[in-house]
Amino acid sequence: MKSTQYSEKVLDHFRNPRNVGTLEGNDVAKGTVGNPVCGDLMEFYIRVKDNTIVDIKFKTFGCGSAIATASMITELAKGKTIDEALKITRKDVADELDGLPPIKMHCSNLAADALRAAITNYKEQHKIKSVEAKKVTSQGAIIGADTFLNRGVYRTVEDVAALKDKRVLVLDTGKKSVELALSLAQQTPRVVFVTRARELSVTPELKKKIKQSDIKVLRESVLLEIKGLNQVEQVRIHDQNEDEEYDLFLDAVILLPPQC
Amino acid sequence: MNNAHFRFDGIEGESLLLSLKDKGIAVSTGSACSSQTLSASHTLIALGLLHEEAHGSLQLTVGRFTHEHDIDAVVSVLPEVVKRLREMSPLYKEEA
Repeated sequence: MKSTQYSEKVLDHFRNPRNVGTLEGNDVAKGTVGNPVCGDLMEFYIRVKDNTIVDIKFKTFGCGSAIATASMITELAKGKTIDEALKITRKDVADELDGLPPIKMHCSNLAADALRAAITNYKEQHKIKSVEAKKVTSQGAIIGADTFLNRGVYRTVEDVAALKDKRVLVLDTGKKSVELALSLAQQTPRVVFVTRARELSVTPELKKKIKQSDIKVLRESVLLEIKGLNQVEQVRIHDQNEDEEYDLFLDAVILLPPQC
Repeated sequence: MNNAHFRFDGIEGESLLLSLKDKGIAVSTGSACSSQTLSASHTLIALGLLHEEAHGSLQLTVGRFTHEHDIDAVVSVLPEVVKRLREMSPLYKEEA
């Protein structure tokens, strides 16, 4: 049984979650991330005074570790300035909880993203400019994804042949994105597949196909930003394992609608 | 048939499973979070449930050694477990 893999600390936060609830007021901002279709939805509320998080509450629809990570991150963030709180990473949360099962690392992302979304929204509401804040919008979206839509960023691909010999990035949004990457690999030797996961959650058959293809899989990586002049030229990737950011030169970025 | 399937709006199956485990009750769920693939049970989806509904499923199984008082025990703790999780959920809105 999976649950036995949880640390005592995770179970404690699951059984007695801290700071559950909602907040209201002019000094409150809310951040929401996740998708109930995928089995998780997280809402964070922060109350900020003098740039410090004086109160924080959350609500979550999700598994045990989603509840535990949300609870933990409220404790980490309370009393911190908003800029300090922006720096809380999923690793900080997981470490504080004495680790999470690998398949659940996703949940700690969600808690950290929801907190960042709340802070970003607070900054937007109060017109606080910050480079850091631009990185995460309320849905944890990718900077430039809308700007370059249909100018190198595509939400659907009708004809893979149109991308022949192009440098293409496919973001992991589920099984369909893996299948698309495989069919693109028939057209171009330069397909990059970016996933937050350590291991792709697809059938062994698909995994084998990817292994045999020329697709370069970037694991534990987040697509932060899409850059260019009139169309997509570069992307910025965050390698979460190494905690490093770097740029890749590309012609196209494929963002299919998320599946689970 | 010795399996009974239940579903609770607004809460997620693994949380339900963990909570019941704490009460000494072993159950199973179609929740994504208890599977290796993080996707909802395709059987439940095929039965016409929405994904978010399938994530809240609970399967109770009785066996040869299950007594009536075991079932009573489940019935007595289940409401409070569901209530606690619903209070934490942004999806569940109490009917006025």
